[in-house]
Amino acid sequence: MTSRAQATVSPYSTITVRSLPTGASLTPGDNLHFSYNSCQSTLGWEQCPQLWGINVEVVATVPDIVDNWTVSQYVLSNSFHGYLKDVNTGAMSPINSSDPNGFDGPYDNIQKISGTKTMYYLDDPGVKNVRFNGTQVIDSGTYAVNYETRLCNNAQPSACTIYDWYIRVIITPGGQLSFSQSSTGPGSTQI
Amino acid sequence: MASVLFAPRTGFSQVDATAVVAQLQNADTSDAAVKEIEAGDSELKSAIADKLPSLMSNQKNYDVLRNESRLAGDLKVVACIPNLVTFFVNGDVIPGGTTSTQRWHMVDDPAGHALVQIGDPVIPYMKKLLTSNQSDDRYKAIQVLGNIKSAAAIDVLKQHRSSETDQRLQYVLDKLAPQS
Repeated sequence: MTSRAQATVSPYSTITVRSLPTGASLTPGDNLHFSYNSCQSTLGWEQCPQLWGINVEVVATVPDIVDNWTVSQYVLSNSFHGYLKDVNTGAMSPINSSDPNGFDGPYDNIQKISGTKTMYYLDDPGVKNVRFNGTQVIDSGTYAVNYETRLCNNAQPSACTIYDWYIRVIITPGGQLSFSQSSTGPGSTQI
Repeated sequence: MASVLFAPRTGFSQVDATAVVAQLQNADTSDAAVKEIEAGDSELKSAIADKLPSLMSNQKNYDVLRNESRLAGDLKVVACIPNLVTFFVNGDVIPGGTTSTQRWHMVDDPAGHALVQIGDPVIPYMKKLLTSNQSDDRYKAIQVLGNIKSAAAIDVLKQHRSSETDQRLQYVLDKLAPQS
């Protein structure tokens, strides 16, 4: 898996996406918390009461101060393919869905302290582990997302450091997160 | 009549509205009906808005109910709020995956998104939901109020902060509505 070429406006402007190994701590100095639906405070894969997903920390470092920079995330493509199971009858039905692509925050869950060189934001993408349509749950499936994180200088908005990365969440039959088959990293995954 | 923001009627055909309602209630034609309504004139929209509360009350098909929720939000039908709250609290979101931003903005939850679109008139319902002993319910109320973002909505969040016992919700509240 190769990372897309980065357009770097400064050799000291960097984006790091941290998620593995599972159980790793947030970077010291990052005081953010993952969303309400996440059930762990550490990085990596998680099987939660409401979510199968991954906790991700994005670290953006700039050469001067963060006040002069904007970090943003975009969903380039996303899809879920899988099966729903009726909890009453056991009947299975296929499901294919995707949410809109485009700007994806960060909104509130960003730490950008004036005068410092590093800012952080968190994401916890994943598959919703809830009841659907009254009687259905997700039995299995694959959720694939391709992201782009951009770190842009406010004075030169078109000059950005760009980092492409992906997640691929695998739910095996019976509604279990596959820690071994799920994957994440730089570059992209096939949708 | 449902409370809805539209120009006065000028003679829309009741027969046409009835046909569109029938399309809306059929799962196979519901998506097309939503597009027709959204592209339609103010009279069609007003006629549909009048019917939406009773349509939602009697609807059992989730795909159709989601479409009716979308319309209730787009048309800001205040009379649909009780139906939307019920649908929202039951948690029948669209199956699949989401990023945390998408979940927060409820792009997968037409009922929750509709409540945000309707805005301040939903605040009394969310205040009631904030008294639930279920933290999931309180999170939903916080989510709606935090997305409405009006002064009145933020004020409710500030007032709720002192009584919130769930640490995760306290964190969300502190982000959304810092105590001055």
